[in-house]
Amino acid sequence: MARDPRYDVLFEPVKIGPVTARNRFYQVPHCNGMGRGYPSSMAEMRRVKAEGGWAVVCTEEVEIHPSGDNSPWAGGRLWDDQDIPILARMCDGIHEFGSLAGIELNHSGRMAANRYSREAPLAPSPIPVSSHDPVQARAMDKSDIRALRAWHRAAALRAQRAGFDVVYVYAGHHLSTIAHFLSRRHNHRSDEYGGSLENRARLFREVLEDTIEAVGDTCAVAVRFSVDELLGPDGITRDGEGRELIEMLGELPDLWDVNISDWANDSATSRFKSEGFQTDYISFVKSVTTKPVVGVGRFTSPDTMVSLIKNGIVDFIGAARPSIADPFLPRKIEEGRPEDIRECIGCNVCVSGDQHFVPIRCTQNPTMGEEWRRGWHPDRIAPKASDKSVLIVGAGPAGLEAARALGERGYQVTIADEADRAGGRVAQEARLPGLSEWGRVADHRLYRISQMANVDLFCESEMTAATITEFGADHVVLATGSTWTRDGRGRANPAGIAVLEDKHILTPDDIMSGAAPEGPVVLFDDDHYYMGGLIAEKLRNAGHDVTLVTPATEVSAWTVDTLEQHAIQSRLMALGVGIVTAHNMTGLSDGAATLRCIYSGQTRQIVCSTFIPVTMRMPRDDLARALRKLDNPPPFAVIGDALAPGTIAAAVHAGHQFAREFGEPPADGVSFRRELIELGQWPAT
Amino acid sequence: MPRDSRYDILFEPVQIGPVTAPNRFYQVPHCNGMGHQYPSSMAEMRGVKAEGGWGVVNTEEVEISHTSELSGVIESRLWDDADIPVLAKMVDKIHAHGALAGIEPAHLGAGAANNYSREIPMGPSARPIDLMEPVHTRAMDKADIRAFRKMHVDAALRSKKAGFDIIYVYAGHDMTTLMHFLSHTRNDRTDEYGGSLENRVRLLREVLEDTKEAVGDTCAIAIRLAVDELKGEDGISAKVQGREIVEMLAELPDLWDVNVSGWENDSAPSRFSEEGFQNDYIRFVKSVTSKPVVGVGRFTSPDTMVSMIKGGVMDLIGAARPSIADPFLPKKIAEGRIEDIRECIGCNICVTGDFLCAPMRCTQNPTMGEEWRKGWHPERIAPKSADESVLVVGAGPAGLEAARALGQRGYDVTLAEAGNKVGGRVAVESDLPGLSQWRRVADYREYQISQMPNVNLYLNSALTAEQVLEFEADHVAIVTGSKWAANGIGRTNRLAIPTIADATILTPDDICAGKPATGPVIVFDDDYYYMGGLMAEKLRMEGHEVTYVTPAADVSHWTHNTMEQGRIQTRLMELGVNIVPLHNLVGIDADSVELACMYTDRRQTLACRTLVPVTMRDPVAKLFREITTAQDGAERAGPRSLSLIGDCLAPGTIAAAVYGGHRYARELGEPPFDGVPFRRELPLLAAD
Repeated sequence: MARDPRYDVLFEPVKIGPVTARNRFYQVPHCNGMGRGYPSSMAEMRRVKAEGGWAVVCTEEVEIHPSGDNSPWAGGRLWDDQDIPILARMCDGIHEFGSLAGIELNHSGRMAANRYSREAPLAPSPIPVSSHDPVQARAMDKSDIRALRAWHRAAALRAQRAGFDVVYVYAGHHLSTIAHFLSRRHNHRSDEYGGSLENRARLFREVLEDTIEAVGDTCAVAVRFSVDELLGPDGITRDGEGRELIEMLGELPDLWDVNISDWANDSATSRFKSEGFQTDYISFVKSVTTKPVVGVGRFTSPDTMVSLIKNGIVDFIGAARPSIADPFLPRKIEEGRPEDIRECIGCNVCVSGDQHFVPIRCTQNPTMGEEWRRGWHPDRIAPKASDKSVLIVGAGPAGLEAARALGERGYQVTIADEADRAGGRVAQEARLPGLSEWGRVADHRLYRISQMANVDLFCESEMTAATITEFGADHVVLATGSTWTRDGRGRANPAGIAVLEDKHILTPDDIMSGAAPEGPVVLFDDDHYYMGGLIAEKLRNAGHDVTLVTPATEVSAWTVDTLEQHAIQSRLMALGVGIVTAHNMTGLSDGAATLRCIYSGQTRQIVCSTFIPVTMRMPRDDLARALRKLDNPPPFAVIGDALAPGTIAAAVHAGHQFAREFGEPPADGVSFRRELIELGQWPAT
Repeated sequence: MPRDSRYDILFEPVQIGPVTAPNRFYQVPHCNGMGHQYPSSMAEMRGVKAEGGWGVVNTEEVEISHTSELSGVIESRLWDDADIPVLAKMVDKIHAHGALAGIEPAHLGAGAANNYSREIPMGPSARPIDLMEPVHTRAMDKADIRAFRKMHVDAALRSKKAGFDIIYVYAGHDMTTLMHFLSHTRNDRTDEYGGSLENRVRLLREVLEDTKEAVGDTCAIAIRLAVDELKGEDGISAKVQGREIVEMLAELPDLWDVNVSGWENDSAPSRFSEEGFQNDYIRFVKSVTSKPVVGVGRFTSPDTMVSMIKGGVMDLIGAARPSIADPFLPKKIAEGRIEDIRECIGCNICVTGDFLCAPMRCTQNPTMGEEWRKGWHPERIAPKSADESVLVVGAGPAGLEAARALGQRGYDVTLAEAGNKVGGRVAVESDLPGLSQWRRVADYREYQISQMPNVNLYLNSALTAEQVLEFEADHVAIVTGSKWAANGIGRTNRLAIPTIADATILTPDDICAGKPATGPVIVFDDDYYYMGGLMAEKLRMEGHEVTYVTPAADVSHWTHNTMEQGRIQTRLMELGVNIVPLHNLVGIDADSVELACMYTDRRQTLACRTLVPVTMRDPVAKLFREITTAQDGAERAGPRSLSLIGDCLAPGTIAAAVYGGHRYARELGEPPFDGVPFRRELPLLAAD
């Protein structure tokens, strides 16, 4: 189908200094947990985005020197010529599809503890590094500043050699030495690099000029700059120094890539921010410079994109997360099938990969990070290997994805769910406060399935071992999910929590199904992801007296890895939820919960009329057990939460994996490709 | 010098199944943050230990399958044949010195999130994994148990192929599936692998038998077992189940490597446990088995080691940390120079490498992890490149190490210290509660220097810029340390905390110097390592009312990485220190401070007569600046080089200071580095 002409503006080429982007879709730099550590995985992921229509595809931040060493974070690295081949591989893949390759060179200064290089970190003024490592950055003297400029210049030249078309100077997210120099809070210098904004911007200007001089003849030189830190008068603001700086340097770079800082603000989740949340902060930029402007805001709607261009907010639609959830987003618009777009749900599971130093994952796109190592493509899948039919029991995220992907392969698929609508846990959880966009996981798959003649979905269809057998499918998939346990069993209490009388106990499943608590509620969060905090929020919103108890030292502790922890705990405190951290819950009797300090072992009691354990989930495996008892059960597999409860991302991945592997020869040994470290010679030759 | 004959017993060979250890020094498996990620660094580090006389040198835990992996934590890996060369390189390094190479294959079960492979972890029962990750294990069925046993057999066969002499079966530290099966709180199975202890031991026995059958003809099969979890009746204990397990399997393995669990108990720091702290738990083992027994206890004294053997506690002196602090410990005993031993101080900085997924470091041994990439050897150093003199100003950890290593190179070294004793911050901090062993950093170096005619130490010798220049040394190193800031600037407050003039503020330096505090005392910890917690502990023990305030969620937050956090916070709570986490300190008045919640910014006021801010340290570089100024335009030539080293360059750990001093000594007179100052090994790009 031809694209809708109203989207034509998105496909206009845009000149960026000496190079030209073929359209307005711009993948801004984003981390991915692969980088230098899993180089072909990284390169192929970027290549697939170029194939999917992104006109500019950038790296993550790329270290330029061992004194800015972010190990173990697996970002990019360009310390010397040894690092060029990895990045050249990425460029080659991007160029295959006529896209431009961009690189975000960075010296991290006090953001890097230099754990691997063991060099002393550098900063405008002496300050501890940003992590809690017992390391302080030293103040840079003039020779250090000269060295930093030389490193940037050398890295720009190496980037040019690797084949990059767009070379960044990075002053965003508080993550670079250049950004630290700009900041009044970090820069206490009294020389010409400190004091006035002009002085604090001096290093930025110098590096920009150096980079233009070094590679500006063939490469566009871009700037990434946070125009507002959301710190009010203590920080850079769009009305204050954010604007002044762009006025100062407006025409110097070939492109302005602007956003808000810090990273948690820039990559805010859908639980806290909507599409386009940055627009008000960055809309002034185009009035100050004639150079093309890139902005982000988790844009997935082509109509919103068009309005941003037409209203003169940005020239390029910047995207990190939407390009992860759907690397083929531009192509789907171009091919007149915008309804096929797999929209980002804003959960930030992608960020958790980087935080754990492992390859990125995505809830919506199970092929993310798997492009090279498993050969999974986000828009292509092998045709079926046989004419077998498949019955899938359970239309949650795993079941729906399995059905969709099997359907794409051409299998005859029937998917049955006992509920009155599909989606499983996604349908339930999307109704929790702030999670409505999570419904997209089901929406995308339901739409795709609805377009397939070979996939039939039946709701309100509870299956038993007998009806499954009777159905007669060649293969059965059990994707029946999991249920939250009622007995408090989990990490802190492996044998469960002693309950001395029949108390009012509700699980998250009960609450999501509409059950109401009585009296003061004690919620015990031994799960540490979002559920405990959300149930507390929901009940508090409904007016209940709620205390959240957790053995961790913070609420929803794992959400540090999705950049949400601060926002979650702040919200619960603002709502008036009682919070008791660093305590285990060891018993429940006489209207009181017994809490035990994880350090001192001291116990105390708090009033509890309704107890909500959020501790672990049990797989719903009764169908599997029933099938196993049959004399001649049909071949079946258990996938997703029904096998082992995890994230929605894990469930979708499991569904996809099943569909990919169905009918294929089983993998023997390690089921994906690896690139191992090449052993050096010893002694040196 | 020949070795003292009373230590002869330590050098007796010990038969371990089909192989023979050349002596009783046994480097037990230990992590190192290098493993599969920095393979030649790992291999060379192990090789140096063999060179230093350890009769057995083991790997860290080695993942045996992609279905149980710890990424991004860096261990070793033996998923398939592709991983053999890295481990074979390690084996070759060890064999080159006549030592035995051991490997610890491990399946981590609920201890691993499989964040890289994305496989579902498995264990005896369906549970959330131990890490705080949104991942559950699935319960292993019979097919899984068969697959699990095969993984171990495959790993054993690959280990043999790589050349290993000793192959472990690992049921320790509450970290492996085999130990999870043993635990009645983790294993609620109703089949023959759950229930009675005999049933719970079944899998361990099977894997032992499988391994023995697969490779036992040429390789020794060792078992690593935690005989006590220090959990009383809730866990395995040396008196009950620990003993019963050893009794059940007594003669099956060729060697018993026994310890206490979890890891934070096994590798307890000197702040909380003494040398030999595990003896009472493990001494029963030798009475139950005739097989050789390895035990650990951070042993650095050869006399203690001898008594361990003679007292029948163990047959082999196990060591992880002492072998890190001094890879040449056995050789020094063998050569009759035990006073040269660089004793482990028990700070657990080594452990942080593993936790932070970076190559290991050591406070005492600055060459640890640098053997391959920088070519640093713990005992050898290049001779001086010129007949030059060096003036080192400041005898703290960096200055002492610089002087020692320069002295070893043959330079003419003068070490000037303003105070009346050496050690700098080490001398001060080792007087704090529990840190007395940290003094070894200074003691070792002071002794070494005392043996060098070319190094002269002068105490009570504060120098001015003029005196430094008059001294006319060829090279001057300024090593004047740092001072704790009094203005509250740090991570959370980038500008000074607003202060009323007559507030009483004492820094940790003031407290350590004996300045009296008056209560109530507020300790504000924006530093997160040990100092804030120690200030609170010391002042509370002196009887003051103490409140500890920190923007972090717990006390001494970074000590999670040294496995001390739980003990530190517990101790403070037991002492009655009031703890206010998740608050910044935003205002200081004469008799109160204002705190702000990190989330809501809600303010509260606390009474305070003495504030102890523990936020950051200011480098003491005044002398350096004065020398630079004095030299500007001076006619006198001045030194060929003037350098800042250690905390006066950038305050950090004692380990970083020692490293800074060592690096200065290594690099003096050598051609400067252009580019990356060490060798690297990168991933080999696939052909397609």
